[in-house]
Amino acid sequence: MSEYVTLVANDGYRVVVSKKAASASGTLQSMLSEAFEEGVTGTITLHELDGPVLEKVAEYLCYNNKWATGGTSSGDIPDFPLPTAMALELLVAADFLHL
Amino acid sequence: AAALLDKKQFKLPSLQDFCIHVITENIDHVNALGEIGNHNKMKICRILAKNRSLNNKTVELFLDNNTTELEFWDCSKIDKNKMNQVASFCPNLVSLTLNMCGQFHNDNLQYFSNKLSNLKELTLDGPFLINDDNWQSFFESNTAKNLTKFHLKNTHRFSNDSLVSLLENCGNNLESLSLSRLDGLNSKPVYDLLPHFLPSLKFLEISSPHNENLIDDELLINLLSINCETLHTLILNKCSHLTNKFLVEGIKPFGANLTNLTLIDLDQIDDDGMNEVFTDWNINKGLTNINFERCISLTDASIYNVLNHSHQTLESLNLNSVKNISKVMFSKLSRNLTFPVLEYLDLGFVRSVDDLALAIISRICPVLKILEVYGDNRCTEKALVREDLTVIGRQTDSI
Repeated sequence: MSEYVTLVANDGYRVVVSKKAASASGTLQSMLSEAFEEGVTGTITLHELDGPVLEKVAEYLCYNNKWATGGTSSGDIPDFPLPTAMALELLVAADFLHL
Repeated sequence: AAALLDKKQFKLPSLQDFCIHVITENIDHVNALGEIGNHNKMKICRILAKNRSLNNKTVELFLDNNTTELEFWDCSKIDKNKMNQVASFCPNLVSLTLNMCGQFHNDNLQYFSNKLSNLKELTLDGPFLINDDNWQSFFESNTAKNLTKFHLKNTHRFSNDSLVSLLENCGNNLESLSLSRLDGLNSKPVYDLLPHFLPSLKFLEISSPHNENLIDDELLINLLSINCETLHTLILNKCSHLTNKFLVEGIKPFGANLTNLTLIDLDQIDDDGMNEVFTDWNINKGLTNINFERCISLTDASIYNVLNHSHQTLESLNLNSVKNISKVMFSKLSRNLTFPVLEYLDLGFVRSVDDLALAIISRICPVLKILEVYGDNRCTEKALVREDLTVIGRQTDSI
Protein backbone atom coordinates (compact mmCIF):
# COMPACT_ATOMS: atom_id res chain seq x y z
CA MET A 1 0.00 0.00 0.00
CA SER A 2 1.43 3.30 -1.11
CA GLU A 3 2.03 6.04 1.41
CA TYR A 4 0.90 8.71 -1.01
CA VAL A 5 -2.38 9.65 -2.56
CA THR A 6 -3.10 11.55 -5.76
CA LEU A 7 -5.78 14.23 -5.71
CA VAL A 8 -7.30 15.18 -9.06
CA ALA A 9 -9.21 18.40 -9.70
CA ASN A 10 -12.09 18.76 -12.16
CA ASP A 11 -9.77 20.34 -14.74
CA GLY A 12 -7.28 17.49 -14.56
CA TYR A 13 -4.78 19.18 -12.26
CA ARG A 14 -3.07 16.53 -10.11
CA VAL A 15 -1.25 16.83 -6.84
CA VAL A 16 0.36 14.14 -4.70
CA VAL A 17 0.29 14.33 -0.89
CA SER A 18 1.08 11.83 1.83
CA LYS A 19 -1.81 9.84 3.22
CA LYS A 20 -0.96 11.09 6.68
CA ALA A 21 -1.44 14.68 5.58
CA ALA A 22 -4.61 13.92 3.62
CA SER A 23 -6.21 12.22 6.60
CA ALA A 24 -6.58 15.62 8.29
CA SER A 25 -9.64 15.92 6.11
CA GLY A 26 -12.47 13.75 7.40
CA THR A 27 -13.89 13.42 3.91
CA LEU A 28 -10.64 12.27 2.36
CA GLN A 29 -9.90 9.94 5.25
CA SER A 30 -13.13 8.03 4.84
CA MET A 31 -12.65 7.87 1.07
CA LEU A 32 -9.26 6.28 1.70
CA SER A 33 -10.63 3.41 3.75
CA GLU A 34 -10.24 0.10 1.96
CA ALA A 35 -13.94 -0.30 1.36
CA PHE A 36 -13.85 2.21 -1.47
CA GLU A 37 -12.22 2.23 -4.86
CA GLU A 38 -10.28 5.37 -3.95
CA GLY A 39 -8.60 3.50 -1.10
CA VAL A 40 -7.39 0.79 -3.44
CA THR A 41 -6.23 2.91 -6.35
CA GLY A 42 -4.83 5.75 -4.24
CA THR A 43 -6.42 8.34 -6.52
CA ILE A 44 -9.22 10.67 -5.48
CA THR A 45 -11.09 12.76 -8.02
CA LEU A 46 -12.67 15.86 -6.53
CA HIS A 47 -15.26 17.07 -9.03
CA GLU A 48 -16.17 20.07 -6.90
CA LEU A 49 -12.69 21.59 -6.87
CA ASP A 50 -10.75 23.25 -9.65
CA GLY A 51 -6.95 23.34 -10.02
CA PRO A 52 -6.00 26.49 -8.13
CA VAL A 53 -8.31 25.65 -5.21
CA LEU A 54 -7.00 22.11 -5.01
CA GLU A 55 -3.44 23.39 -4.98
CA LYS A 56 -4.28 25.61 -2.02
CA VAL A 57 -6.03 22.74 -0.26
CA ALA A 58 -2.96 20.55 -0.73
CA GLU A 59 -0.82 23.37 0.62
CA TYR A 60 -3.00 23.52 3.72
CA LEU A 61 -2.82 19.74 4.18
CA CYS A 62 0.98 20.00 4.30
CA TYR A 63 0.86 23.08 6.54
CA ASN A 64 -1.47 21.23 8.89
CA ASN A 65 0.72 18.12 8.82
CA LYS A 66 3.77 20.16 9.70
CA TRP A 67 2.36 22.31 12.48
CA ALA A 68 -0.60 20.50 13.99
CA THR A 69 1.55 18.51 16.39
CA GLY A 70 4.90 20.30 16.17
CA GLY A 71 3.97 23.74 17.48
CA THR A 72 3.43 24.42 21.13
CA SER A 73 1.86 27.84 21.14
CA SER A 74 0.36 30.07 18.52
CA GLY A 75 3.43 32.31 18.55
CA ASP A 76 5.65 29.73 16.86
CA ILE A 77 3.38 29.08 13.93
CA PRO A 78 3.27 31.17 10.77
CA ASP A 79 -0.09 32.20 9.39
CA PHE A 80 -1.42 30.32 6.42
CA PRO A 81 -1.29 32.67 3.42
CA LEU A 82 -4.50 32.91 1.47
CA PRO A 83 -5.30 34.95 -1.66
CA THR A 84 -8.32 37.12 -0.93
CA ALA A 85 -9.95 36.41 -4.26
CA MET A 86 -10.09 32.72 -3.46
CA ALA A 87 -11.50 32.95 0.06
CA LEU A 88 -15.15 32.21 -0.72
CA GLU A 89 -14.46 29.38 -3.11
CA LEU A 90 -11.98 27.88 -0.71
CA LEU A 91 -14.48 28.11 2.14
CA VAL A 92 -16.97 25.99 0.20
CA ALA A 93 -14.22 23.47 -0.58
CA ALA A 94 -13.06 23.39 3.05
CA ASP A 95 -16.59 22.76 4.24
CA PHE A 96 -16.92 19.85 1.82
CA LEU A 97 -13.61 18.38 2.97
CA HIS A 98 -14.23 18.98 6.69
CA LEU A 99 -11.01 20.90 6.96
CA ALA B 1 4.28 20.71 26.04
CA ALA B 2 4.47 24.20 27.52
CA ALA B 3 0.93 24.82 26.42
CA LEU B 4 -0.13 21.63 28.15
CA LEU B 5 1.46 22.72 31.41
CA ASP B 6 -0.28 26.07 31.15
CA LYS B 7 -3.49 24.08 30.81
CA LYS B 8 -4.09 25.74 27.50
CA GLN B 9 -5.06 23.69 24.55
CA PHE B 10 -3.72 24.90 21.28
CA LYS B 11 -5.41 23.86 18.11
CA LEU B 12 -4.28 24.80 14.66
CA PRO B 13 -6.96 26.93 12.99
CA SER B 14 -8.92 25.00 10.38
CA LEU B 15 -8.87 26.00 6.75
CA GLN B 16 -12.42 27.28 7.23
CA ASP B 17 -11.23 29.53 10.06
CA PHE B 18 -8.58 31.01 7.81
CA CYS B 19 -11.08 31.58 5.02
CA ILE B 20 -13.59 33.23 7.31
CA HIS B 21 -10.85 35.41 8.71
CA VAL B 22 -9.88 36.60 5.25
CA ILE B 23 -13.51 37.16 4.30
CA THR B 24 -14.16 39.18 7.45
CA GLU B 25 -11.11 41.33 6.90
CA ASN B 26 -12.00 42.12 3.32
CA ILE B 27 -15.70 42.48 3.69
CA ASP B 28 -15.55 46.14 2.71
CA HIS B 29 -14.19 45.18 -0.68
CA VAL B 30 -16.69 42.50 -1.52
CA ASN B 31 -15.57 42.45 -5.15
CA ALA B 32 -12.09 41.36 -4.14
CA LEU B 33 -13.48 38.12 -2.73
CA GLY B 34 -14.31 36.80 -6.17
CA GLU B 35 -17.62 36.21 -7.90
CA ILE B 36 -19.35 33.01 -6.91
CA GLY B 37 -22.95 33.12 -8.07
CA ASN B 38 -26.20 33.08 -6.15
CA HIS B 39 -26.45 29.38 -5.47
CA ASN B 40 -23.05 29.30 -3.79
CA LYS B 41 -23.96 32.38 -1.80
CA MET B 42 -26.73 30.47 -0.04
CA LYS B 43 -24.27 27.69 0.63
CA ILE B 44 -21.69 30.08 2.07
CA CYS B 45 -24.37 31.63 4.24
CA ARG B 46 -25.07 28.20 5.72
CA ILE B 47 -21.39 27.41 6.18
CA LEU B 48 -20.87 30.68 8.03
CA ALA B 49 -23.85 29.96 10.29
CA LYS B 50 -22.50 26.47 10.95
CA ASN B 51 -19.17 27.98 12.00
CA ARG B 52 -21.06 30.50 14.14
CA SER B 53 -19.42 33.23 12.09
CA LEU B 54 -22.45 34.97 10.67
CA ASN B 55 -22.06 38.41 12.20
CA ASN B 56 -22.39 42.11 11.51
CA LYS B 57 -19.46 41.96 9.13
CA THR B 58 -19.96 38.74 7.22
CA VAL B 59 -23.66 39.36 6.75
CA GLU B 60 -22.79 42.10 4.26
CA LEU B 61 -21.83 39.44 1.74
CA PHE B 62 -25.48 38.58 1.26
CA LEU B 63 -27.02 42.02 1.05
CA ASP B 64 -27.70 43.26 -2.43
CA ASN B 65 -30.49 44.78 -4.37
CA ASN B 66 -31.41 41.72 -6.40
CA THR B 67 -31.72 39.26 -3.55
CA THR B 68 -35.21 37.83 -3.26
CA GLU B 69 -34.53 35.06 -0.80
CA LEU B 70 -32.51 35.08 2.41
CA GLU B 71 -31.99 32.39 4.98
CA PHE B 72 -29.98 33.26 8.09
CA TRP B 73 -29.78 30.18 10.29
CA ASP B 74 -28.05 31.94 13.15
CA CYS B 75 -28.74 35.62 13.74
CA SER B 76 -27.48 35.74 17.31
CA LYS B 77 -24.51 37.90 16.33
CA ILE B 78 -26.38 40.33 14.10
CA ASP B 79 -27.42 43.44 16.01
CA LYS B 80 -30.40 45.69 15.67
CA ASN B 81 -28.83 48.25 13.32
CA LYS B 82 -27.45 45.64 11.00
CA MET B 83 -30.78 43.88 10.91
CA ASN B 84 -32.39 47.03 9.53
CA GLN B 85 -29.82 47.06 6.75
CA VAL B 86 -31.11 43.68 5.62
CA ALA B 87 -34.37 45.36 4.72
CA SER B 88 -32.84 48.53 3.30
CA PHE B 89 -30.28 46.75 1.09
CA CYS B 90 -32.63 44.00 -0.08
CA PRO B 91 -35.95 45.75 -0.68
CA ASN B 92 -37.05 43.05 -3.12
CA LEU B 93 -37.05 40.21 -0.61
CA VAL B 94 -39.84 37.72 -1.16
CA SER B 95 -38.82 35.09 1.32
CA LEU B 96 -37.00 35.69 4.60
CA THR B 97 -35.91 33.19 7.25
CA LEU B 98 -34.32 34.32 10.51
CA ASN B 99 -33.39 31.62 13.00
CA MET B 100 -32.07 32.25 16.52
CA CYS B 101 -33.11 35.84 16.11
CA GLY B 102 -33.18 36.81 19.77
CA GLN B 103 -31.79 40.23 18.90
CA PHE B 104 -34.56 40.93 16.42
CA HIS B 105 -36.15 44.05 17.84
CA ASN B 106 -39.56 45.74 17.79
CA ASP B 107 -38.08 48.53 15.66
CA ASN B 108 -36.75 45.97 13.19
CA LEU B 109 -40.13 44.42 12.63
CA GLN B 110 -41.66 47.84 12.13
CA TYR B 111 -38.93 48.83 9.70
CA PHE B 112 -39.31 45.57 7.79
CA SER B 113 -43.03 46.10 7.42
CA ASN B 114 -42.40 49.51 5.86
CA LYS B 115 -39.60 48.45 3.54
CA LEU B 116 -40.32 44.94 2.35
CA SER B 117 -43.39 45.43 0.23
CA ASN B 118 -42.83 42.23 -1.77
CA LEU B 119 -42.45 39.94 1.21
CA LYS B 120 -44.56 36.80 0.92
CA GLU B 121 -42.88 34.31 3.22
CA LEU B 122 -41.62 34.98 6.73
CA THR B 123 -40.07 32.44 9.08
CA LEU B 124 -38.88 33.51 12.54
CA ASP B 125 -37.35 31.29 15.19
CA GLY B 126 -36.94 32.80 18.65
CA PRO B 127 -37.96 36.47 18.18
CA PHE B 128 -38.67 36.95 21.88
CA LEU B 129 -38.08 40.71 21.91
CA ILE B 130 -41.15 41.39 19.77
CA ASN B 131 -44.08 42.19 22.04
CA ASP B 132 -47.79 41.90 21.58
CA ASP B 133 -48.38 45.50 20.46
CA ASN B 134 -45.78 45.20 17.76
CA TRP B 135 -47.08 41.90 16.48
CA GLN B 136 -50.47 43.49 16.15
CA SER B 137 -49.28 46.59 14.34
CA PHE B 138 -47.17 44.39 12.07
CA PHE B 139 -50.14 42.26 11.11
CA GLU B 140 -52.13 45.39 10.36
CA SER B 141 -49.50 46.60 7.87
CA ASN B 142 -49.87 46.03 4.14
CA THR B 143 -46.74 43.89 4.05
CA ALA B 144 -48.20 41.40 6.50
CA LYS B 145 -51.51 41.27 4.67
CA ASN B 146 -49.70 39.90 1.60
CA LEU B 147 -48.03 37.06 3.48
CA THR B 148 -48.77 33.59 2.22
CA LYS B 149 -46.42 31.86 4.62
CA PHE B 150 -45.90 32.66 8.29
CA HIS B 151 -43.88 30.34 10.49
CA LEU B 152 -43.18 31.23 14.10
CA LYS B 153 -41.28 29.27 16.72
CA ASN B 154 -40.00 29.69 20.26
CA THR B 155 -41.33 32.91 21.67
CA HIS B 156 -43.51 33.42 24.74
CA ARG B 157 -44.40 36.99 23.75
CA PHE B 158 -46.74 35.99 20.95
CA SER B 159 -50.01 36.25 22.83
CA ASN B 160 -53.64 35.37 22.27
CA ASP B 161 -54.34 38.85 20.94
CA SER B 162 -51.43 38.56 18.50
CA LEU B 163 -52.93 35.42 17.03
CA VAL B 164 -56.35 37.03 16.71
CA SER B 165 -54.75 39.92 14.88
CA LEU B 166 -52.82 37.54 12.61
CA LEU B 167 -55.98 35.64 11.74
CA GLU B 168 -58.11 38.71 11.15
CA ASN B 169 -55.59 40.52 8.97
CA CYS B 170 -53.65 37.82 7.18
CA GLY B 171 -55.83 34.72 7.51
CA ASN B 172 -57.38 35.04 4.08
CA ASN B 173 -54.12 34.76 2.17
CA LEU B 174 -52.20 32.39 4.43
CA GLU B 175 -51.36 29.12 2.74
CA SER B 176 -48.74 27.97 5.16
CA LEU B 177 -48.91 28.51 8.92
CA SER B 178 -46.70 27.16 11.65
CA LEU B 179 -47.12 27.85 15.37
CA SER B 180 -44.57 25.99 17.41
CA ARG B 181 -43.65 26.35 21.10
CA LEU B 182 -45.58 29.56 21.66
CA ASP B 183 -46.19 29.59 25.39
CA GLY B 184 -47.98 32.93 25.34
CA LEU B 185 -50.84 31.34 23.45
CA ASN B 186 -52.90 29.85 26.23
CA SER B 187 -56.51 30.55 25.42
CA LYS B 188 -58.62 27.75 24.07
CA PRO B 189 -61.29 30.07 22.59
CA VAL B 190 -58.56 31.80 20.58
CA TYR B 191 -57.23 28.53 19.17
CA ASP B 192 -60.80 27.61 18.35
CA LEU B 193 -60.91 30.60 15.99
CA LEU B 194 -58.34 29.00 13.67
CA PRO B 195 -60.81 27.15 11.41
CA HIS B 196 -62.87 30.26 10.74
CA PHE B 197 -60.11 32.45 9.34
CA LEU B 198 -57.97 30.21 7.18
CA PRO B 199 -59.78 29.43 3.94
CA SER B 200 -56.78 28.65 1.74
CA LEU B 201 -54.52 26.68 4.04
CA LYS B 202 -52.16 24.14 2.48
CA PHE B 203 -49.62 23.60 5.24
CA LEU B 204 -50.41 23.64 8.93
CA GLU B 205 -48.14 22.97 11.88
CA ILE B 206 -49.22 23.29 15.50
CA SER B 207 -46.49 21.89 17.70
CA SER B 208 -45.86 21.81 21.44
CA PRO B 209 -48.78 24.00 22.56
CA HIS B 210 -48.50 25.58 26.01
CA ASN B 211 -50.99 23.10 27.36
CA GLU B 212 -52.10 19.93 25.62
CA ASN B 213 -55.78 20.63 26.33
CA LEU B 214 -55.68 23.63 24.00
CA ILE B 215 -55.74 21.48 20.88
CA ASP B 216 -58.61 19.04 20.88
CA ASP B 217 -60.38 16.75 18.45
CA GLU B 218 -63.22 19.18 17.67
CA LEU B 219 -60.82 21.94 16.64
CA LEU B 220 -58.99 19.71 14.19
CA ILE B 221 -62.14 18.13 12.77
CA ASN B 222 -63.61 21.57 12.23
CA LEU B 223 -60.44 22.82 10.58
CA LEU B 224 -60.07 19.81 8.33
CA SER B 225 -63.68 20.01 7.20
CA ILE B 226 -63.10 23.58 5.98
CA ASN B 227 -59.68 23.08 4.40
CA CYS B 228 -60.06 19.59 3.01
CA GLU B 229 -59.73 20.79 -0.59
CA THR B 230 -56.28 22.32 -0.19
CA LEU B 231 -54.55 20.98 2.90
CA HIS B 232 -51.60 18.73 2.02
CA THR B 233 -49.41 18.92 5.11
CA LEU B 234 -50.51 18.46 8.70
CA ILE B 235 -47.99 18.53 11.55
CA LEU B 236 -49.31 18.12 15.09
CA ASN B 237 -46.35 17.25 17.26
CA LYS B 238 -46.99 16.87 20.98
CA CYS B 239 -50.64 17.83 20.73
CA SER B 240 -51.16 14.82 22.94
CA HIS B 241 -54.75 15.59 23.82
CA LEU B 242 -55.79 14.36 20.37
CA THR B 243 -57.46 10.96 20.22
CA ASN B 244 -58.79 8.45 17.72
CA LYS B 245 -61.82 10.66 17.22
CA PHE B 246 -59.77 13.23 15.32
CA LEU B 247 -58.44 10.49 13.05
CA VAL B 248 -61.78 8.90 12.34
CA GLU B 249 -63.95 11.99 12.06
CA GLY B 250 -61.33 14.42 10.71
CA ILE B 251 -58.58 12.75 8.73
CA LYS B 252 -60.62 9.96 7.18
CA PRO B 253 -63.46 11.98 5.62
CA PHE B 254 -61.54 15.21 4.97
CA GLY B 255 -57.95 14.14 4.30
CA ALA B 256 -58.36 13.45 0.59
CA ASN B 257 -55.42 15.59 -0.50
CA LEU B 258 -53.18 15.00 2.48
CA THR B 259 -49.66 13.88 1.57
CA ASN B 260 -47.68 14.64 4.72
CA LEU B 261 -48.88 13.52 8.13
CA THR B 262 -46.62 14.10 11.12
CA LEU B 263 -47.92 13.12 14.55
CA ILE B 264 -45.01 12.93 16.98
CA ASP B 265 -45.77 11.93 20.55
CA LEU B 266 -49.53 11.42 20.26
CA ASP B 267 -49.84 8.70 22.87
CA GLN B 268 -53.63 8.45 22.88
CA ILE B 269 -53.83 7.36 19.27
CA ASP B 270 -54.02 3.60 18.97
CA ASP B 271 -54.66 0.75 16.56
CA ASP B 272 -58.44 1.17 16.47
CA GLY B 273 -58.23 4.71 15.15
CA MET B 274 -55.46 4.02 12.67
CA ASN B 275 -57.14 0.92 11.30
CA GLU B 276 -60.39 2.78 10.90
CA VAL B 277 -58.67 5.47 8.82
CA PHE B 278 -56.30 3.45 6.69
CA THR B 279 -58.58 0.53 5.82
CA ASP B 280 -60.47 1.36 2.62
CA TRP B 281 -59.32 4.98 2.66
CA ASN B 282 -59.99 5.34 -1.03
CA ILE B 283 -60.39 9.11 -1.27
CA ASN B 284 -56.70 9.52 -0.43
CA LYS B 285 -54.32 8.25 -3.07
CA GLY B 286 -51.43 7.67 -0.69
CA LEU B 287 -49.21 9.69 1.63
CA THR B 288 -45.63 10.61 0.73
CA ASN B 289 -44.41 11.41 4.22
CA ILE B 290 -45.49 9.69 7.43
CA ASN B 291 -44.03 10.40 10.85
CA PHE B 292 -45.46 8.53 13.85
CA GLU B 293 -42.41 8.92 16.09
CA ARG B 294 -43.18 7.97 19.70
CA CYS B 295 -46.84 7.12 19.06
CA ILE B 296 -46.27 4.34 21.53
CA SER B 297 -49.76 2.85 21.49
CA LEU B 298 -49.47 1.73 17.87
CA THR B 299 -48.64 -1.90 17.05
CA ASP B 300 -48.18 -4.19 14.05
CA ALA B 301 -51.94 -4.43 13.60
CA SER B 302 -52.32 -0.84 12.47
CA ILE B 303 -48.87 -0.02 11.10
CA TYR B 304 -49.25 -2.78 8.52
CA ASN B 305 -52.52 -1.29 7.33
CA VAL B 306 -50.98 2.17 7.13
CA LEU B 307 -48.15 0.86 4.99
CA ASN B 308 -50.51 -1.21 2.91
CA HIS B 309 -52.42 1.95 2.06
CA SER B 310 -49.47 4.20 1.19
CA HIS B 311 -46.65 1.88 0.17
CA GLN B 312 -46.69 2.99 -3.47
CA THR B 313 -46.22 6.68 -2.68
CA LEU B 314 -44.20 6.80 0.56
CA GLU B 315 -40.93 8.72 0.27
CA SER B 316 -40.13 9.19 3.93
CA LEU B 317 -41.25 7.11 6.91
CA ASN B 318 -40.42 7.63 10.58
CA LEU B 319 -41.48 5.01 13.13
CA ASN B 320 -38.86 5.89 15.72
CA SER B 321 -39.72 4.47 19.16
CA VAL B 322 -42.93 2.76 18.04
CA LYS B 323 -41.69 0.00 20.24
CA ASN B 324 -44.49 -2.52 19.79
CA ILE B 325 -43.61 -3.32 16.20
CA SER B 326 -42.55 -6.96 16.14
CA LYS B 327 -40.51 -9.17 13.84
CA VAL B 328 -43.68 -10.67 12.46
CA MET B 329 -44.53 -7.44 10.71
CA PHE B 330 -41.31 -7.43 8.71
CA SER B 331 -41.85 -10.94 7.43
CA LYS B 332 -45.40 -10.02 6.52
CA LEU B 333 -44.10 -6.96 4.66
CA SER B 334 -41.52 -9.11 2.95
CA ARG B 335 -44.20 -11.35 1.46
CA ASN B 336 -46.71 -8.70 0.44
CA LEU B 337 -45.43 -5.18 -0.07
CA THR B 338 -42.73 -3.18 -1.82
CA PHE B 339 -41.93 0.50 -1.41
CA PRO B 340 -40.87 1.70 -4.86
CA VAL B 341 -40.09 5.33 -3.94
CA LEU B 342 -39.16 5.19 -0.24
CA GLU B 343 -35.86 7.02 0.31
CA TYR B 344 -35.69 7.62 4.05
CA LEU B 345 -36.66 5.30 6.89
CA ASP B 346 -36.15 5.71 10.62
CA LEU B 347 -36.67 2.62 12.79
CA GLY B 348 -34.65 3.81 15.78
CA PHE B 349 -35.53 2.19 19.10
CA VAL B 350 -37.81 -0.34 17.46
CA ARG B 351 -35.93 -3.11 19.18
CA SER B 352 -37.36 -5.96 17.18
CA VAL B 353 -35.38 -4.76 14.16
CA ASP B 354 -32.53 -7.20 13.57
CA ASP B 355 -30.21 -8.25 10.74
CA LEU B 356 -32.96 -10.23 9.09
CA ALA B 357 -35.31 -7.24 9.15
CA LEU B 358 -32.55 -5.08 7.64
CA ALA B 359 -32.11 -7.54 4.81
CA ILE B 360 -35.86 -7.55 4.15
CA ILE B 361 -36.03 -3.76 4.15
CA SER B 362 -33.06 -3.50 1.84
CA ARG B 363 -34.85 -5.79 -0.60
CA ILE B 364 -38.38 -4.38 -0.54
CA CYS B 365 -37.27 -0.72 -0.66
CA PRO B 366 -35.17 -0.62 -3.84
CA VAL B 367 -34.34 3.10 -3.74
CA LEU B 368 -33.95 3.51 0.03
CA LYS B 369 -30.92 5.70 0.74
CA ILE B 370 -30.84 6.21 4.50
CA LEU B 371 -31.96 3.82 7.21
CA GLU B 372 -31.61 4.85 10.86
CA VAL B 373 -31.45 2.13 13.49
CA TYR B 374 -30.21 3.89 16.65
CA GLY B 375 -30.90 1.82 19.73
CA ASP B 376 -31.62 -1.37 17.81
CA ASN B 377 -28.99 -3.56 19.37
CA ARG B 378 -29.79 -6.63 17.30
CA CYS B 379 -28.52 -4.89 14.16
CA THR B 380 -24.94 -5.77 13.33
CA GLU B 381 -22.54 -5.25 10.49
CA LYS B 382 -23.36 -8.77 9.29
CA ALA B 383 -26.73 -7.73 7.90
CA LEU B 384 -27.04 -8.22 4.15
CA VAL B 385 -27.97 -4.82 2.78
CA ARG B 386 -27.49 -3.15 -0.58
CA GLU B 387 -24.25 -1.26 -1.02
CA ASP B 388 -25.93 2.03 -1.83
CA LEU B 389 -27.99 1.93 1.37
CA THR B 390 -26.51 3.84 4.31
CA VAL B 391 -27.38 2.28 7.67
CA ILE B 392 -26.84 4.74 10.52
CA GLY B 393 -26.68 4.03 14.23
CA ARG B 394 -25.43 0.46 14.53
CA GLN B 395 -23.51 -0.13 17.73
CA THR B 396 -20.93 -2.24 15.97
CA ASP B 397 -19.98 0.43 13.45
CA SER B 398 -16.70 2.06 14.28
CA ILE B 399 -16.82 5.82 14.54
